[in-house]
Amino acid sequence: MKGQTNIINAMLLSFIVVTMGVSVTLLAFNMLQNKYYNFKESIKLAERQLKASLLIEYVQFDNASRILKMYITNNGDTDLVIDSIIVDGRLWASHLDITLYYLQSAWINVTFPSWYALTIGLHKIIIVTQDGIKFEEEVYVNG
Amino acid sequence: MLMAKGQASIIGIAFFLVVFLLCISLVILVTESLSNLMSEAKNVVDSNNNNNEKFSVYVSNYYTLQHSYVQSLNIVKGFYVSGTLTSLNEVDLDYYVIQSPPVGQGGLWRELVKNGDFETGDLSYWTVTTSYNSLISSVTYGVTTTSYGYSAYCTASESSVFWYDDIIVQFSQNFTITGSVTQAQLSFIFKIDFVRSGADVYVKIYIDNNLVDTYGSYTTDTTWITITEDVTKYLTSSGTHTLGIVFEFRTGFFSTPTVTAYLDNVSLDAYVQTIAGLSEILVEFTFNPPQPNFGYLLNVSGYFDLGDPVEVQVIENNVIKARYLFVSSDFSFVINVTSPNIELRLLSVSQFTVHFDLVRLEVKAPSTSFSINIKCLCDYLQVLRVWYNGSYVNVNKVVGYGDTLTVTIPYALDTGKTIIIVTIRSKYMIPISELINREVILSNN
Repeated sequence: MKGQTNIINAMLLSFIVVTMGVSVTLLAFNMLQNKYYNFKESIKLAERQLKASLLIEYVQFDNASRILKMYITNNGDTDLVIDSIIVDGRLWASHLDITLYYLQSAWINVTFPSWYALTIGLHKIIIVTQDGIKFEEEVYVNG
Repeated sequence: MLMAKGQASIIGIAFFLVVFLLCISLVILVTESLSNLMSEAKNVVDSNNNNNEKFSVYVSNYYTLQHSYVQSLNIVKGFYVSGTLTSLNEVDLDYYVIQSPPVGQGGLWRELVKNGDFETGDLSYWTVTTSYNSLISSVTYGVTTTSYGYSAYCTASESSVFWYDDIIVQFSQNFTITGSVTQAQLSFIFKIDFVRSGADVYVKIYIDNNLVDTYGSYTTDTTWITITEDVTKYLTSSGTHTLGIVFEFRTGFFSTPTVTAYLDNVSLDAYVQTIAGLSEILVEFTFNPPQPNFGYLLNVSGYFDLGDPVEVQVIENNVIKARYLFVSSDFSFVINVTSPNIELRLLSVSQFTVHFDLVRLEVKAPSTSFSINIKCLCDYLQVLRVWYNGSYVNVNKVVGYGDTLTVTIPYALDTGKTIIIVTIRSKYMIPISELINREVILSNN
């Protein structure tokens, strides 16, 4: 009877140790995997930022039509999907979804509402891609 | 029981080893990723360093030469002989002929009075003398503003009802004549305001204490009165002369007048004969070139009847722009000028005659297009586009070191605009005015 009890104890202890070990291993594996993927994505974004380059060739604000016209060219080593335009820290266009392959160009027009005055002087334009890369340019509005 | 604990410990150690190995593999993967990132960054930096752009740029073919012929001609010095304005258009066997005066003769209109309009705001160059009985009268004078800008004035007051006075204020100026004067005309304007009446006002003109004329008397307010006098006979000799303009206020008994007289626009224009050792022709040419333009070339040719060499001076805005010495009869020259009003002065030690065959401006008028020339000064240069006037010309060409790329812009050149050259690596913005007649070096370093 004592021998049987010892065997049951040993099996129970083994079961507990294996179960806990597997749980801890899976938990550790899962955590490490998540951290690794996050890190990998950060590295990928950093790589894309290094590779990405956008030429903002021409910028003009037409007071009459209240349209901000931009001509941009992707001269980087990675494709870009233009998503948003920020002028002076304010989002004026989003979900543009303009894909630019290498050396591909496009016009982007942003129409301002009549109540918004783009005053005389320098204005900062930020073009944001879908993956969060930003490109900056300044435009001089001369009235 | 002891055996079971040993087995559990071994299993636990095994799991610990698994977790430890997972951590090690994560560290290895992170290290590899960082290494890849660094490698990528190095590639990008190397790529940037290996593709430093440097090139020179200038504009060409931005103008066409258009002829602009003489619109008017004024012989300031010299004698007209023959020809018409069309004679200056390079018509065969048709010349515009001007003869110089004999040596020792000549003349120019000269203004002899300085600060005659008093626009200096003071009485510079003028002397004011007064004469009056200081017991009963007073005089003030100076410069004040009127409808003619600054004008000289004098105010005479007499305060006694039992006495009278003869108040005299003289504005005088000395001037010097070298040579004799064959024509001379004096002109000025004056106005008299009576604050309190009771005086007769006379205006008198003197040259060298010789009374030229008297105007008046005036007893009430006047408007501006214009005076012109031929004063040639008073200025026939060289030397220093004195012009005097006198305001005389004669007061009466039983009155205390206060009168102000204003004087302005005093001019003494004299044709002064010069005694010179050179025979001189001075001609003014006026053109009406098309606008806008980028400048002019003055093109002159003809021949001389001459005994001695003739020097030709090109005068622009009263500045001698160039001198040419001609020792033989035929002459021609071309020079860059900026003004459509040009004077030519021709000088010789003996009398001569000039036969102008051609006097013309070659006007650099804007072409309907112009060229941008980009010369590569680095390993290679890939030009994508050239922007001008809100639109672009697609280029998309690669040039190697020393090669030049010419881009034609289909607009007339406007020096107030900017050109943007877009390469595969960067964009370069430069005012077009900096590229005219100049090669500018641009670089992304």
